[in-house]
Amino acid sequence: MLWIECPNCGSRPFEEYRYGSVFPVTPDSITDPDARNIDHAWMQDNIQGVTQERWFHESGCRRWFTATRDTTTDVFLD
Amino acid sequence: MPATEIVPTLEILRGWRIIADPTALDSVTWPVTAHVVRISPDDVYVIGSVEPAVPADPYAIITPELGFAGVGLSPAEVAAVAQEHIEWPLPFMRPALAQGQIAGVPAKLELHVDGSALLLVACAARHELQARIARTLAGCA
Repeated sequence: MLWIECPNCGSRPFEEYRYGSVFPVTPDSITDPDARNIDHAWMQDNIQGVTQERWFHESGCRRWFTATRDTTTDVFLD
Repeated sequence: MPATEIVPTLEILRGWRIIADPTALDSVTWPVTAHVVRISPDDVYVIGSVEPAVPADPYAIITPELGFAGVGLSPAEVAAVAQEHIEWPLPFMRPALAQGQIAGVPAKLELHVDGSALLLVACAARHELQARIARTLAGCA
């Protein structure tokens, strides 16, 4: 079973969580505010490897947090 | 007698919910009659009828909270519930607040120094949780 470390509650089974999204990172090369908004909302990178993600501890403290996960091994790195 | 009539029952609790700056919450002097549950650094659930105040945070959100039900569990009941219905490890330190699924229902377990605990659950799920742990609690009666 996949276990995820919540900063408030500790290690819990993944069923207690809701996946948010990949933590959106907009490149600095995009300077136009509208273009940055579009990139932030729609341009997902679908990274294969280590990525930062937003997770919600729905069954616990009900807080969002950012986790680092390797999408190739499904291992949480912190 | 049916098991559900002799086991502790989850009762709706009257309290207050506070969202505020964590450092401001740390400095609060709580009402003497209040029972304080720190859900997360910026989120406190206060059981009691006296409205608490957070002087250090003028933007604190303080609202009446009637959305939780709770029941006190004896050390034997805590051990039985943990063994049969909790798949994650309870914290070693006491007192502590453990949050997660209990019998598949999102719940909170405030663990006290003497081994007893306060089981908290959202009111909407209290009947479900009650039904799922009734047989376990009946075994401790």
